[in-house]
Amino acid sequence: MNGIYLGIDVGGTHTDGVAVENGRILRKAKVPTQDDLVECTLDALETLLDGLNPRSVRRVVLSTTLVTNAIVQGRLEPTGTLLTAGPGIDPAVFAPDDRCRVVGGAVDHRGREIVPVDEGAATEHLDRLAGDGVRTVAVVGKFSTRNPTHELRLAELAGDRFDYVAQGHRVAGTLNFPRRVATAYLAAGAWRSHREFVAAMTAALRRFSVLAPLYVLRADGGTQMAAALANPAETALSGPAASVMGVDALGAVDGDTLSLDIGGTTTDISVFTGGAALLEPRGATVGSYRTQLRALYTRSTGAGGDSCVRLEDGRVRLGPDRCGPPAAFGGTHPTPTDALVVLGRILGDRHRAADALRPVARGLDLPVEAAARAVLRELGRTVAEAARKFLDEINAQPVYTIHELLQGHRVRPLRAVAVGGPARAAAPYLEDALDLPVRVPEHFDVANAVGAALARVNVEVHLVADTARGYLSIPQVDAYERIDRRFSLEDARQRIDRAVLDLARARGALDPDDRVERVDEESFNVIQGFSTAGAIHRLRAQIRPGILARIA
Amino acid sequence: MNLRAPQRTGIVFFPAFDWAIDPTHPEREERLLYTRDQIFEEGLLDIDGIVQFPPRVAAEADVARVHTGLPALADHLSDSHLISAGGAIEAGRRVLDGEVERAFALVRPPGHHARRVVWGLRGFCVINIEAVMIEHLRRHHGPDLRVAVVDTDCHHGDGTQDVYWNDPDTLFISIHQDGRTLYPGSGFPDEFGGPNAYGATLNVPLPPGTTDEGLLHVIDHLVLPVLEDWKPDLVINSAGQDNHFTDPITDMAITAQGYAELTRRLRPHVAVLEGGYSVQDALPYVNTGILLAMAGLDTRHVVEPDYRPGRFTVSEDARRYVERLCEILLEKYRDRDGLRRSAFGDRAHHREERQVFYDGAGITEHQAETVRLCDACGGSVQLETWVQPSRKALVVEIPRRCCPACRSDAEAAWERAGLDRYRWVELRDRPADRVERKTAGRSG
Repeated sequence: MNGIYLGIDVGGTHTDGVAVENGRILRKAKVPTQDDLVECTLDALETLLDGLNPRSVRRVVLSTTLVTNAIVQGRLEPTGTLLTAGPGIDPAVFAPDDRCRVVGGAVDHRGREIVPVDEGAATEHLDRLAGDGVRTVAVVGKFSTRNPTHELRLAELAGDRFDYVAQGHRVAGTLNFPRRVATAYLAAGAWRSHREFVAAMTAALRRFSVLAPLYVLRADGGTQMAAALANPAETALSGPAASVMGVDALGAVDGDTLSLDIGGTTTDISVFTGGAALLEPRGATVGSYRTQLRALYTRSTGAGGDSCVRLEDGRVRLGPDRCGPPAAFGGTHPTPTDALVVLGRILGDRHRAADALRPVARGLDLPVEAAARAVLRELGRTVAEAARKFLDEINAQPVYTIHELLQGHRVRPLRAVAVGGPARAAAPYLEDALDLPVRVPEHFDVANAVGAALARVNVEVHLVADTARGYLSIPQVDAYERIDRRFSLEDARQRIDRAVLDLARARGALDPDDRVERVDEESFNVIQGFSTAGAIHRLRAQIRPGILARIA
Repeated sequence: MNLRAPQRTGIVFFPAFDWAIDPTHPEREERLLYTRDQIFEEGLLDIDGIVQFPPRVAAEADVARVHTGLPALADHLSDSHLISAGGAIEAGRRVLDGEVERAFALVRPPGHHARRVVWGLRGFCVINIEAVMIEHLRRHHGPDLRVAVVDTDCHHGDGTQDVYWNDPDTLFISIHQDGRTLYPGSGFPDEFGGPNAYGATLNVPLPPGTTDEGLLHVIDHLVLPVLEDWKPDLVINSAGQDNHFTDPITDMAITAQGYAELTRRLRPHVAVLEGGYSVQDALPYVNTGILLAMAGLDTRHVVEPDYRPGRFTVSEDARRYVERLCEILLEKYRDRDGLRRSAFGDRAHHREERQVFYDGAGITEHQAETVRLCDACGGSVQLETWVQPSRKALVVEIPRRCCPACRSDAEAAWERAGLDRYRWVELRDRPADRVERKTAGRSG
């Protein structure tokens, strides 16, 4: 990889940036995050480009809290929703808000139309939305990934009265109607602010004479050219993803590895197995929305360096709130960071830290140093307990064949990697609590930005070929094609490999080493009566989340 | 936007996508494929309060507690059967452990045609997954567990009936298409239980074409009153789905709405999938309906694409027949003690002979069963079984809750049984959870 790769992660407290060239970190930046995300991104960019030739920048990858915050804080653009459903749970239950309407129309599990779409009702609702000044719409059908014609028709009916129409099958390609509804709704609601942000950032890059394309980081730890992003909701939760990719890029992963990103108020936990980070089985949860967004499998525990320390029934407790910065850095409440300062493990105002911890020490009837150690043991305990729960959850993932059940691979990490501000100082306490060696790689304080800079494009594609119906669908590349009776498993393999590479290219893949990996393959006979009418092939293929290069 | 289940419900979903009896057999790989699609697309596993549990692999000891396999139990077991039974066990344990209020074992292969003695495959079944679960639960949660099994598969649950024929602590009710018109050809009202469990077996043969209304009539007017009287600790539903109007191998007219309503009224603690071979047109909807009903959620929209209320009707005669059948059976159940006295008198032992056809193996088994009449327990049982008269087996059973008299009767029979008469003699000491065998010759 020639040229300079820039990565910027706009987090809740800090905005971190790095410039990487040939596996070396050329520049680091750490600036406070401001309300205007463009501003702090530019601050970081300015630091990074200081003394570098902007023309040698190959790509700029941004990871921001823009979309996550809009979702969590309820600042999405007012969006209309049209649903078609058919048999099952009453679809009205899944209405994201009162701008939603269920219209007639149904497709079954094999993609056969059961009830045609009620165009009259749809048009009536669309007219009303347009009249109310709504500018973005989501259209979602049950089983639309098996047959998208209802969604396509609804989008057609919406026409150009709306600025953006999110179609379920395009933004959420696997089976899960309620999650598809949420995903399309978020895509439509986040569309405009994301677009404006990308436009502002692209213009700003040009002002810095950076001509390289702007990329965004996705929740699955993959990058994508910002201009080619179909679903802006995919940038939600890119922060935790950036750190996970950073852990990989800093060369700290070896076999089954637990990854810990110790932040201000939370510690994000994720797991590497077989050389790659695990993905959420059903999709990310963002705020109160369960979505189909492909995301790295991370769990957050409410304990970080700046968590408030309390006493509860004579025991030390952490968080879940942050009550301002640590006392050692101008705050008023004691935190684990203050405990580290008291013990001389990090630099800060030791006096203030000790003062803040004193009431806790008194409550525990311990000297301040011993109380500080108790606080850090509690941090370790909280993280270790969350990690154990998370591993249990991972290992309880369902399997559906006898072979898988009997061969079941259990994830058992033999080591952990910690990154984030307090990682190095807190590592011994994590080691004790986890009973695992904890490695803290160099550049642990900007792992997130390193991850953004070096993340690869990754994709996941699902193919369903139903030869009895003569139909093939690959929702992720919007492919819905006729096939004949002789379409074989081998044909399906070739078709899905092509789809993976097409999608990777469309997202801006730079890496010629991208390897298509077919992760699931199922073939079934379709029996009608007592004879074989055809076959159903289902394949899933991907380019795994990964990085372009390791930091030397 | 996120649904919450009023009743915390577990699901063990194990479609065994790599197992079939043979490629075009109704019991084949993709039987639950479309069901999985529907479950996933509905987002059923995302509902708060619906919890998915992986199956366990049942131990051979779990199976041996229920079945005598001949020549040897291991000859008949496969991983698929152990996982299916393990799925049922997992569902039952989660309920008894209090983790969930109800659980649905959506597993295959099925088991309700598997009887105590197993010589081979019959009715797509090898081991009785409900019985293996129940006996596992009794072993691990207390031997006094009072259980009712309500079998709503379209075929008579003759295997489960046989396993519990002499057990006064297990009520077995089978509702099915009349045996004169369907495999296995049994399940008539006069099949009422063994001499010490008379009235603990009830059979409700329904005429072909029975609709939701008829099935629900049986639930309301027979099953629920009997359950109220019996007071089981645990209600198990053998939830076969082949009463569906689209099922290719049966002739009933039940809809997904009917199944959902049945589940809502019956309120089983554990439902276990049995048959059901309309894999595209019924199972996705019926399973969705059952799971939602178990969880206490709305099922009004769970309807087949071609469903219309009032699509199926029955003649006035058929309706009256079902009503009358329920009245007679309820009366018979209430009078079961009196009927027992007149049927068995004060004989010391009761002997029954029967033949069992194994459609999957193409063999016919002969059985002669002798039960010691006992007011205190299920009675000791001596069961002679053979396919060829030169290779007979004797199974001696000391029942779970055994009185001293029955124990010495059984132990004497075990001592007496010589390998000159039998090729295999098995002692099933249920209180000790022990199976012992004497075998003639070198092979098992």
